[in-house]
Amino acid sequence: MRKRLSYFSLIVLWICLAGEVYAQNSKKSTVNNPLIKDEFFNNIPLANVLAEMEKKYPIKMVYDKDELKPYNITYWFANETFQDGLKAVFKKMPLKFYLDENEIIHIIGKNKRIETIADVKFEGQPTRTDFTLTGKVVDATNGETLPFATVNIRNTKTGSQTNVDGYFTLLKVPADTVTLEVSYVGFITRYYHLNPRVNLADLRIEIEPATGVLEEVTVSEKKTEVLKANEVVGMIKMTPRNIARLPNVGERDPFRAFQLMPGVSASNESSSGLYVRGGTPDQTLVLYDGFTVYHVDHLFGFFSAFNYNAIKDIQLYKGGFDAKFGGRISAVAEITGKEGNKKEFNAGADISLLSANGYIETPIGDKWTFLVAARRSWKGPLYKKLFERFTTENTNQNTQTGSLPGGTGRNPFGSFGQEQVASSYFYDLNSKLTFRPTKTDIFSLSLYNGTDNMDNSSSSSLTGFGPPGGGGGGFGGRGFNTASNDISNWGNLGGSLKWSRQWSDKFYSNALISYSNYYSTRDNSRLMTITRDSVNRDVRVGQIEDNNLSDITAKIDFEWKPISNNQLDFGLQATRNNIKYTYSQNDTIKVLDRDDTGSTYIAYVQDHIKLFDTKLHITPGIRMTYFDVTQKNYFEPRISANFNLTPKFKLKGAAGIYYQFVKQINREDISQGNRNFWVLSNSTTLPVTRSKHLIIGGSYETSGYLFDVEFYQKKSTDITEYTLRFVPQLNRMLSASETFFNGDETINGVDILVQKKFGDFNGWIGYTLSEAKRSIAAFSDKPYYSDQDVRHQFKVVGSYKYKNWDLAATWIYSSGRPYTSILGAYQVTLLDGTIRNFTNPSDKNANRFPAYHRMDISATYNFSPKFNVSFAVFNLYNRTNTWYKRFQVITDEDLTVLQTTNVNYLGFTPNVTVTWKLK
Amino acid sequence: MGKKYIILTLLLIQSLLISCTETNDVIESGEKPIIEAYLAPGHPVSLKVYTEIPYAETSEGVSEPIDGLSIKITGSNGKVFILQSIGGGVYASDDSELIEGASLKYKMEFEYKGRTISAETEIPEKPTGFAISATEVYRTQVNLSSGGFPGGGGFGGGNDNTPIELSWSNPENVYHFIAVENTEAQPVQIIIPPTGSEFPTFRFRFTNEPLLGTHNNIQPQSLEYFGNYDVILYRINPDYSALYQSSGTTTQNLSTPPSSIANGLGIFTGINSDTLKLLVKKN
Repeated sequence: MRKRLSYFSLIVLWICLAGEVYAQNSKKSTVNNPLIKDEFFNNIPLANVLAEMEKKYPIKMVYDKDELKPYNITYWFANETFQDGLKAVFKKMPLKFYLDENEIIHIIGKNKRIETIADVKFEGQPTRTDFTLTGKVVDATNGETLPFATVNIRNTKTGSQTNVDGYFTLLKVPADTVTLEVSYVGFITRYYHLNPRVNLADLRIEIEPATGVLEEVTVSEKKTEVLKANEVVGMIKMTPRNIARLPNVGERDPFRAFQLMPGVSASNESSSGLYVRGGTPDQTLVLYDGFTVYHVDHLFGFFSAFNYNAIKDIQLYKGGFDAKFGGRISAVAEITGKEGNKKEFNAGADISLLSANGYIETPIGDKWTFLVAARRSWKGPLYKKLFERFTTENTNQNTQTGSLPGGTGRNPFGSFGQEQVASSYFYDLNSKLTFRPTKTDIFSLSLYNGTDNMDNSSSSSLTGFGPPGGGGGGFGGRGFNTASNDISNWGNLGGSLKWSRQWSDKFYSNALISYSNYYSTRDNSRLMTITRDSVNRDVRVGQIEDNNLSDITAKIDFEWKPISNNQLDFGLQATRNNIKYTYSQNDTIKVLDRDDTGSTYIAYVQDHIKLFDTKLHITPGIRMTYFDVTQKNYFEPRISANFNLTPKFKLKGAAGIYYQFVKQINREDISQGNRNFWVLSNSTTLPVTRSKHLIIGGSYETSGYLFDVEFYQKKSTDITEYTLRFVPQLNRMLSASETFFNGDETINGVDILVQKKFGDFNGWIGYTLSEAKRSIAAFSDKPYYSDQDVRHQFKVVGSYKYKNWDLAATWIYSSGRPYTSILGAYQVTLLDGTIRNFTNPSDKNANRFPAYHRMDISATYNFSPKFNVSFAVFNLYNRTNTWYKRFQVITDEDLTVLQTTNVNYLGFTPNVTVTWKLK
Repeated sequence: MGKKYIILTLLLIQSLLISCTETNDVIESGEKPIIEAYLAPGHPVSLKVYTEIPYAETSEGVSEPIDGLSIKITGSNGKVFILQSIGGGVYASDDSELIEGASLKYKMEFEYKGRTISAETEIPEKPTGFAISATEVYRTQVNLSSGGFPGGGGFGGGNDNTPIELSWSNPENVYHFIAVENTEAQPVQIIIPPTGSEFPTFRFRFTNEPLLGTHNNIQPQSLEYFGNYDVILYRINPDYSALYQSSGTTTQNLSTPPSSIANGLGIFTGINSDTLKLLVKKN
């Protein structure tokens, strides 16, 4: 609660700060935009008004008189600039205006693309040759800079990518009359024709998102994809804008969208974390505006904690990633938050059967932008359904164990009352304040908070236990009350303050300090009050868990282009982690109590080199980490390469060594919510995990299709599992060596992707064949399949655009996951003659669930670009997919039966989402 | 173009071949024997071996005794017990062959279905300072067999509900366990249940689980029978107390209680005890 308060007060502070800035920056009149004291027009044709204004004032305008013919205006220009007045006039008309490079006002239809001189090939003589060009790529609708967009010089091999702030640098541009090809996933590729008249010192290239409602003249060459998969080995790129078209249940979720790509497991409904190429979610580094997010689940993992309204860009590296990233052994998801609309105030909202989601973005003066997006679940029918799916089992268990003194409902001698008080919700909040004091400096403060609060508590009472009428006797005055607590609380709080500066054409730096906190508490306990002879006795039984992780990081990254075809990245980072975990049983006994602090100091350097006429891109790098807990240095050499055999056919490969110092351990009890906890490595019982990656692949890409194959192998050492299976004695503090077991893991696989990139009908087919095996001596003398091991995964994703409808369907097929079953049961007679039942598990993960498959569909009707309604159905044919199995031994006199219950994932679930935005 | 697809296909086939490797085999149900043995000083060895209840989707299995094994127990003092199979899965040492006292270790070993099943345990110290606050209590018989319930008056008088306190010394704070056993040949019920009714069995005598600390109470109203009782205080090993831990029964949390038995299941543990007497008299 305290955290939340401080967060809100921060936001309030920003708004105050920002407001002050705003006051100082009202729009000023210029020669081309004069202040108009008093001009009144009453129902005058627009063309006449414009002609009169041109006469009276030094305004230059370009417009088509015929186009303006139907419009008459009534307007009073009263002490405002001409452009402000024009804006007000056009509010009610399907017209807009823009300023070109020469400050000339152009008036066109609202849905027309703005033509500038850069849209026409310049045929004259160049004035500059062989120069360095720096510029910025921005979203035309809101002025957001676009990170990791591709900028190529057409018909040459020279090209570059924008950095996280949207800047790009092209060295050795042959002439100032070349054509730039600017592309970004989810946006229409733009051909930007350089021209000696264009101001190259401050080049800003606007590109349009592919909303499908522009009156496109030349559709054939302007294309967009939902996901882009073939730039660098193992990488997928996505803009959240396009995931709205994929079927979703409840939330438009970028992480669920990634799960539709080959190599990212799609069959874990109870975790939105990324199981990338046989890895587990904690092995994927999730960076949000530079800070690490340690836990990404909402509502027991059904959704990720990222609000798509606040996200601008996501890149997922499925392996073989650069030396720039580290601390995880499997994958990297780099998320860039939106900065907020730089052009005008905007707001939007989504309401679904699960949650309400809203955002506000606005420029504040010329130099500031602000965005805030918030989402909260509400107790709709879908929320209830999901909540019950993930907690019902739990309630049952409570009832069973709660029947301690024969307290079943059919007891003729007592009354049994039960009351369930369940209240729960999740919310998240993203906000970002960006300040650009100069053209080359950007400061941004980004905050994120997401929390889940699950309360499934209940209370029951059993009174008058015993024969009635026994007043005053031995059985009177007895009662039995229990209050079951089942409260889970988890979330993330994080923030980063970033300063980036473009020092020169060739040198850029990005400095960041960040804080990230993950917290998870769970109180699953029962307070029993036993009244005997009117004396109360309190007994508390159950489990209480508390995991708290904090991360304070300072880092600085540099990009330097000393010579053509080289980009040198280097940087320094220091991170301090504090991780606490306590697991207590029955009030007092702590089974596990850890409080570890450790720091890592990191330096890296890598070089993006282009060789052989830029056919070969090769990125060698090294990352060095000093970990103060083990007092050792860790070296991680990395290399990745692309070789373009032909313009269409590409070979690619990557290799590297990866270390992980902070790891999440699975305590095998997911049935009751997400029961993972983070721990810090040490030099004894929890060694630093190490993984070696090797990826080899190839792709064939035509203008419309992509065929992509990647083979991968990951060999990891010192993978950790946690179990209480081999504990000699509970109810006391356990040493780490009794519960943590370490071993090796080998993962082999291949990802295949066939994508139809464009057109009214587009989509992809993905296939993954993989195998993940662990060998941990404590579980088995032979290797066993890892929990997340899935042999085949097959995914088909298609979307079709028909008039105002966007239709989409996905089908997922996945081999079953392994599990440990029960082979038999046995009974042991105890010292007091009672008999206890036990079960005998099979070898670790020696069985498999049936295959997982389901189909999701969605249909979105776009009333306008600003308003749409989306219908979606999750698990269309109501496939019963197994989540896990429960076993129970039932003894009835001589007969003992083992009962197996399948606990299933979600069945047929429809949802409706209404989306609206102001602009 | 065609060639490239051939290469891709070949690579795919190759990877399929590479990925076919062995993992662990499931041990079939019934291969692990269940062993039940409590080794107490001054007593001969008695050990039970039986099969587990096999789990099959179609039929209900039963546990069968395993007879005819040759089981050997060796003490750390060098004494060897050769156990005789006396039927019903029970193996016993000769009446004159007794387990000896504290801190001796005993190792058990036998062959079953091609595997060596073995276990080891240590005899704990004898409990000390065991005391009881009362050796006699009075209860009134309640007869409900004639149907209906007696009025309040006939139910209350003469019962002493003061808890019987048990205490012992436990400086190392190790686990103890209390068993209360009626030793009458034909025990008489304190409450005679109504004829033909499903009378609830009151089993909550006291915390019937291993205990830390130095004391525990017996509620007199929890005793079911008149007559003589043995109140036994056991000092136990950790593997016995582990039997009381609630074991998970989902695929996500599976556990058998840890035991010292290799290739087998059940309990093979040393115990040591002290016994006091308690008499429940009729009012």
